[in-house]
Amino acid sequence: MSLRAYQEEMAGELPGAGLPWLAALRTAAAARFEATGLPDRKVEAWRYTSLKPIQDHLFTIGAGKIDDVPPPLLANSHRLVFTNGILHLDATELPQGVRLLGMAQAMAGAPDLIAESLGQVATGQKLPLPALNQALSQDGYVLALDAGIVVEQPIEILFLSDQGASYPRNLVLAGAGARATVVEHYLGTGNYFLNAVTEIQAAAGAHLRRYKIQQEANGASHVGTLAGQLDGDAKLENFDLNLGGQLVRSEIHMALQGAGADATLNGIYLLRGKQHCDNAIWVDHAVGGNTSHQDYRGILDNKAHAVFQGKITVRRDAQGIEGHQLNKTLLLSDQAEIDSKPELEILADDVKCSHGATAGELDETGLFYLRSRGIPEAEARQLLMTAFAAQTLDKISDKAVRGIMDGLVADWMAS
Amino acid sequence: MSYTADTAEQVSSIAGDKYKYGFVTDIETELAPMGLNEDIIRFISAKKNEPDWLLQWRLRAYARWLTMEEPSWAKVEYPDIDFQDAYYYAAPKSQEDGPKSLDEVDPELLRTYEKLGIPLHEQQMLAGVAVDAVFDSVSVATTFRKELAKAGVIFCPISEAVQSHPELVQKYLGSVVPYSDNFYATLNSAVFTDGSFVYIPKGVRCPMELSTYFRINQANTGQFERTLIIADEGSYVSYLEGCTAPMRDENQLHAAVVELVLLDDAEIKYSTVQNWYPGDADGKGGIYNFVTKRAACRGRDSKVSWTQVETGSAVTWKYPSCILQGDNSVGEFYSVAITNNLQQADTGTKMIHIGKNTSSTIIAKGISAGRSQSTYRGLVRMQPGAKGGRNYTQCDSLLIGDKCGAHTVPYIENRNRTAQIEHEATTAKISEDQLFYCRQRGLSDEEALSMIVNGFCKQVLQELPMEFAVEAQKLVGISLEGSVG
Repeated sequence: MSLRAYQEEMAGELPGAGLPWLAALRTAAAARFEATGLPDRKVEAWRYTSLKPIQDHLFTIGAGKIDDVPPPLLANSHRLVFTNGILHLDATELPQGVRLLGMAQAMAGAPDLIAESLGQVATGQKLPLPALNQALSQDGYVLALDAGIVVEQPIEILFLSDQGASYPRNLVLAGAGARATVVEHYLGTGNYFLNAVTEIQAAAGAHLRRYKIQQEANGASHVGTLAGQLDGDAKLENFDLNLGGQLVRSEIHMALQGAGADATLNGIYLLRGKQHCDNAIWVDHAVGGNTSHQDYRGILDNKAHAVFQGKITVRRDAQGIEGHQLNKTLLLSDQAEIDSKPELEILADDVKCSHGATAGELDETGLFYLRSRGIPEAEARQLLMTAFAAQTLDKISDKAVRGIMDGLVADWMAS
Repeated sequence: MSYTADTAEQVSSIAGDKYKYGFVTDIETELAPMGLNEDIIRFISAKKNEPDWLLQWRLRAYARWLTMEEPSWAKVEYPDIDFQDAYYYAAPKSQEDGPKSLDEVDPELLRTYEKLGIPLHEQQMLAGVAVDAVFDSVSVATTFRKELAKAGVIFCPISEAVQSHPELVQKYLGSVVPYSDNFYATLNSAVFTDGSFVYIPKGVRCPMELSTYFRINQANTGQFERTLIIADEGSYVSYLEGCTAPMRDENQLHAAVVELVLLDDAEIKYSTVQNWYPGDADGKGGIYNFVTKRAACRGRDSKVSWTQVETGSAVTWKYPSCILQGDNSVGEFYSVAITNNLQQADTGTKMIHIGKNTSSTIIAKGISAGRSQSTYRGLVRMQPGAKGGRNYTQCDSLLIGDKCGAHTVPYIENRNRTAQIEHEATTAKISEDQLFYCRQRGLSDEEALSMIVNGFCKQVLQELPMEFAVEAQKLVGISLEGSVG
């Protein structure tokens, strides 16, 4: 089935169908997707990841609700729950100046809130999956923070899936100086395909933390895209923990548009079996005086295949830039594979940019040292792996979230 | 005016005028008609009196080339090349055409020679001045050849090797870079006219460094050069290509292929200094250098080392690679790429680890000045069998001025648990503090820059053979003239 045929059939049923600007947005997105189709491995950005497993599942939309919803990860959080891509549980008791609601709710009841921002960051000809998401998305979350608002309690979004295809579309709008912490938690059972997009617009001086915990089901395919733009002095701390899914692609497109902006993009991927996880990160230093940091680490066992690719672009005349990229991977098995492609594109001279990548097995000398101190091998290996992951986990500034991530990483290593 | 039109004009001013009537009337100088087709390839092959297998090989390459597309993935931009608007066979340009004495040579060129400290007779040779009897190149060549022959080393033009050692050529030609490899290598396979052939027999350490610059066999090997070096078991050779002085050359497109074959315990050290005409300050003219270089470490404990100093050419597209097939084989790549004005360089290496305990080192230094663009593009791959494989990569870029670009595109692929890969890259500009410190010690802007950049490149330059290294250091300074102050 082609996207166009599907869209014509569905057009009237999508939320906000009566809004002309939204219809135009969807039509344009569908055209962008149709122009390229699903990217194959001849497309440089998809060199190491094949989307063949999902090509027949794109239009299996419309799975039902899931009634059995697990409790929140974090105490005292404001939580929204989506099941198979559709809002299931609402948030309550929100502070003044904070709006947290479903995308379909916003389209129906507060279209002005999103009209100027939706689809503005995650565009571009080379992003076919976000385009597909824009054309088909029925729901997602909208978080809008008025200027100067500081949300103390974390905001937790659970995406629970068990079948079909879902296309959550999320939008975070942070006013000047606003602060918030968002945890996106992806969880599921069975076989399904999820293509999520989160767009972030952070106005001057806003500070956002976004933590993504990806625990999709073993048989699931997950494509997640984070597209953000940061104005002057805005800061984003993003952390991707990838544990689940059979085929996972986690894409980030971050534009630093003001001096003093900072994007810290870190992640951990722990894979085994035949899991495939591709982290692809593009950072665009559009103007001078801003900074970005990336630290991605992974541990691969069995026949797992991980990909790290990232590009730091410093545009012409964007002086005074600092951009760093680090990727380290431990291979535990002879069949595991890591492909790393950290790229720099620098068009200004007053920059400090670096990247580093390492891949290999656990340090034999470290292992020997621990064993010589009487620590059994299995335990010693676990200690070294824990220490390896901790160097990235240490960069999570939210203590409660750090605790949860630590627990999940420890569980993975123990199992 | 577009590049292509400009190029055509250049070609016609150099070649056309001379050869306007040449093809029909001049019996001494033979020239195939313009363009590329099977007949031209048959003509080249017949001219070289080649055996049928080589002709068939060329024709297969040509048939394949017709189906290929010019690669566009490199970060270089240049106008479309019209492959039909070129001569694929021309006898070497006659000396009569060149300047009669150094007085007729571009003073800018002479100034550069002087700075490099090149002796007068070499200057004449480089500038294409008809060399008189005083500089007896023939006698030098004869001495060299005698010594090499004593050691059993074969060093001759590849066209000669096809006649004298056909079994070696047939066995190894295209075995490292197959005729179907890539667009330019395939074109080269179809139309190559000459190049060098080196065979170092078992256990022989080549008694001298082999150099194309001082190689006396043929001055003008043409734009499609083909080099084949075979290092048999336990042998060693150091091979120098190019020279530091700017070379006069009328061909705009260069698509060379270099194949190195290493058997057990063999070692090849291949050094290149490339300083072809980069075009003027506005980017007019200049050589397109699209080269395929690859070494196959077939034997265990073999070692290959590529060292390159790339300062010339308008566009460089070059990735000297190592296929580390033999257990314990070693691949090294040391590179300095300097771009100034509107030059573009997309260069790097590939290290394919196949055998056990193979190791590779990559040190790449890119310096961009003016409005130039410099890209490091490299691949390190550990195949599943590369047990205990080891790679260390360091690529650093230095930016001089705010109009240039420096890019790094590494591909790192590890399929073996026991293999270790380390990669680091940095990009920065020359610090004002360093410049200030040097100036405060009485160095001029340019001296300071040259000194800092030489320090930045030291790791690579020290890999060059001694006499090359000294010249290369001066070259670094000269290439960056006018980029500060």
